[in-house]
Amino acid sequence: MICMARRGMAFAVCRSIVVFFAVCTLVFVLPRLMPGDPVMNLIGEDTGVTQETINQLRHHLGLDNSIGYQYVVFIKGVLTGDLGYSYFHHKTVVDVLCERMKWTLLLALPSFLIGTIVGCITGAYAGYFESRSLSQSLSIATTLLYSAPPFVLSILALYVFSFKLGLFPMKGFYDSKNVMSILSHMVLPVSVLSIYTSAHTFVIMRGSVLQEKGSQYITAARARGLSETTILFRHVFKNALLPVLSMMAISLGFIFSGALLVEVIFSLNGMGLLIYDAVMSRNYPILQGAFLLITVMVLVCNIFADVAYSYLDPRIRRHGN
Amino acid sequence: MNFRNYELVIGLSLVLFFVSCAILSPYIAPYGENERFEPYGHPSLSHPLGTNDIGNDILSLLMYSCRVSVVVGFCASAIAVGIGLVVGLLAGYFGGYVDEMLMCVTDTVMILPKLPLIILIGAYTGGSIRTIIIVIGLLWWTSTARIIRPKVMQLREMEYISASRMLGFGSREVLLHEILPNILFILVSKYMLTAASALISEVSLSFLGLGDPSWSSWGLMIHMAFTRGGFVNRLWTWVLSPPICIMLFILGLMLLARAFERRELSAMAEVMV
Repeated sequence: MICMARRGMAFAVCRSIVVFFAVCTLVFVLPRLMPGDPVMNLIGEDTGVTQETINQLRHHLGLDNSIGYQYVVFIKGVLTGDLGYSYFHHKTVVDVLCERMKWTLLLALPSFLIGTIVGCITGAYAGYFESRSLSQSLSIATTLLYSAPPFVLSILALYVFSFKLGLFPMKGFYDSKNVMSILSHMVLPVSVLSIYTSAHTFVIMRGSVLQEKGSQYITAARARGLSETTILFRHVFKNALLPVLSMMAISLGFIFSGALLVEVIFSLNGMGLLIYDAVMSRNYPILQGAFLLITVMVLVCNIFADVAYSYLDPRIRRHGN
Repeated sequence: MNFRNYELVIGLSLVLFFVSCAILSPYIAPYGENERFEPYGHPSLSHPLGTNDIGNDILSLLMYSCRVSVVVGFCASAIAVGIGLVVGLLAGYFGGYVDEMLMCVTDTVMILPKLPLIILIGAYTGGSIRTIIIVIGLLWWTSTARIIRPKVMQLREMEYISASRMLGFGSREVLLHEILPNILFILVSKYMLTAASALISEVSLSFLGLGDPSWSSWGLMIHMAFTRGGFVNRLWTWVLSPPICIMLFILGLMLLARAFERRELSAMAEVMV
């Protein structure tokens, strides 16, 4: 992070552009490189179109033109937000993605916020009062949670709370479209994602606070007679937050793909399930569109992380000037 | 005996357990991979964990599935840590333009969305085990490079390195015989962590049905348990045993990684004195 900021904003933007074009090229090359008819590779299997339409499409998609021309047309399409047409959904890819995105955000944003806040506070506590038994048990619990990928946690949670205890519904976002129904469906997936996020935040926050602990301003604050809790949350917390913030911005970029498998387990109709269904039915336009969207999101959040980092850390801000 | 020793002991035994399961699965598994019995069987004496929808013994399947996890985890991690080591060594030791260029590449690879990328490639290529290993190896090396580089920079400034350089040893000699032995612990630690991460990716892939179809794997078992009625028929051993195996294996790898990281810290402290 620090070296990135040192090299400046221009570098971050250039790098993002390079990655963007690399990813676009990959998306362009893959369907044309794979064995089989490129038309099928582009529109996906399971679409039920006639041979006549395929021939029309071959012309329409420009597959009878030179590869360079095809590439220019493709990049132009991506830049103007035209990601193609899904013959499976009978809608444009952008429409399908927008429709599903809302639901994923409904799932991922609360989990992101809850997980980060809980992780920061517990991490700060465990780092500052390192030797207390609560801190030790928090660290052990985090190690256990950290080693369970979120979809493994989801299966366990679904089994215990929905299946055995019958406390929460098994699948979907709602039975009837009202707030209570949606809320009760969201409890388990949001908890699982929050726990997972907080475990990650915990580790970083704890390490960051441990590093801050040696600083002299803490001794100074103690000499002024402040209580340990005040020192932690008034002074140390703010300084230790920096690495967490840049990690948050980065993980915000993965918000569409992070919940992928959790959505599949809980049958939640968001981007993750969309990608899963697209994989199952070999619906390539959707796969490519989702992948491009995720990449763009990640890149934007990375630039944002760089800006936030250099803005928040006065040392780096001065260095940049 | 304190917590640190527990980490090494528990971690090592968990990892060794799964590795030996993988190697010995054809000999110790109670039944063959494709042997069929009564489908949807509940746990019984002859089938301690029950049977699945086509009547395979779950316990035997679990053991056979270790192979993919171990092979993908350790092979992909070997490639990734290998690349990361070379990049980190060169960038840290030579500095200057070499460093700038290598770190530029590292930062670029680092921000690629890895899992979606693997899913996309898997969907097109059909995901043979070799493809999965190579793709994971080529994408997962950045964190190793970023950890090795500052270590090498730190070591490069030390007196015994300047001494051996003054004695006329070439860069290759210094890198291989003076610097490499001092970063071995951190390398092993990173190897275990990367293996855990590769394992998660493989499980996710095969859970999506994009794994190698000719190998049974934990991800595929979860996929089957979900789509073919493990939940509905209350066959909890079928549904829960693969996730628990995954958790334990990853936990073992992470504990080992931590134990080696602690070794590294104390070894580093000795060198610095």
